[in-house]
Amino acid sequence: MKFSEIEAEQWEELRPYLDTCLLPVTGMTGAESPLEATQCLEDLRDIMDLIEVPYRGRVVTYPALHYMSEPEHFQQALSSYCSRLKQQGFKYIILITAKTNVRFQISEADLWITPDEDGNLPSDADINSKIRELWHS
Amino acid sequence: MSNHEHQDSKHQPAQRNEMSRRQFLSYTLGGTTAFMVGGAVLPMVRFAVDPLLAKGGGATLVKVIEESKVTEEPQEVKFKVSQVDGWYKSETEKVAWISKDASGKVFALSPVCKHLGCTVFWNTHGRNEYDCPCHDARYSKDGKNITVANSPLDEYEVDIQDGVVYLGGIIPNTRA
Repeated sequence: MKFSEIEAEQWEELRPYLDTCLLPVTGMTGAESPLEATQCLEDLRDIMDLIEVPYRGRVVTYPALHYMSEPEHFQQALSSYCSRLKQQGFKYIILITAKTNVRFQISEADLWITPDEDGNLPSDADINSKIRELWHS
Repeated sequence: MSNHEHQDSKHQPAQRNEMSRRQFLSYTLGGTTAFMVGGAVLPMVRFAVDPLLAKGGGATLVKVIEESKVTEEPQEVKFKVSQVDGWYKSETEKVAWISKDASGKVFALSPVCKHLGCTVFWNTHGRNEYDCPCHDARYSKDGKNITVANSPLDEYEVDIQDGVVYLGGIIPNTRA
């Protein structure tokens, strides 16, 4: 479920069940026109639906990182965000993007969900097997 | 004495029953203002509460599969329903697991886990059960909760017309 759907009084009760964080990466550079920015966000929403809806009882979707700086800096920033998310209690971190060129090696993250090189979204079955494998690892 | 009373009544102002000019103007202006304000506000109020006053029609039945294709083994079917939320109309995709029982009756279960709302799948572990990937809740073929969840899977309303299965709204499980 989305971070904003969790009520303050529910959090402590739900915390043991919500052990996975979904961190979306929009991957914009700032050079996008309004139409391109809209498209980026729609693509991200489409790929996020593959996880947010079927696994809403265990995955908390965090606010997205919309803009990307230089790749090395961004990679470092992403690593530190993942590290802090784990420190505050999440057991698993899933990074997700709709961009084909945004996939850095982040040792603190447990799984990347991205489209293939042609931009095709992964199938439900594909995601299901990856997530089951992650949770049973 | 009577002479004195007569003199007092002479000094009192004359009592008139007609409306004064001031009252007439107050009533006229007040009435006109109320009419004009009402004319502007009432349509806006009616417009704002329109979705509340609209009749809530039952869920529309959607054609999903031919009855001859439904087997005792649950099958996943996806279908689209239009959803009205106040002023906002949208089309959402729904999923149902549809199968027949031993007597040949068709039923369809909602895949939404009753524990925390994840999506259950049929027979992932080869146990002929629905299981939830999130916290390992398990349900029988009829949707009866076996572990973790406290209640059975919901059902869809099922209607069969001319050999075709139609699904409607969500109802509480009638089989478990």
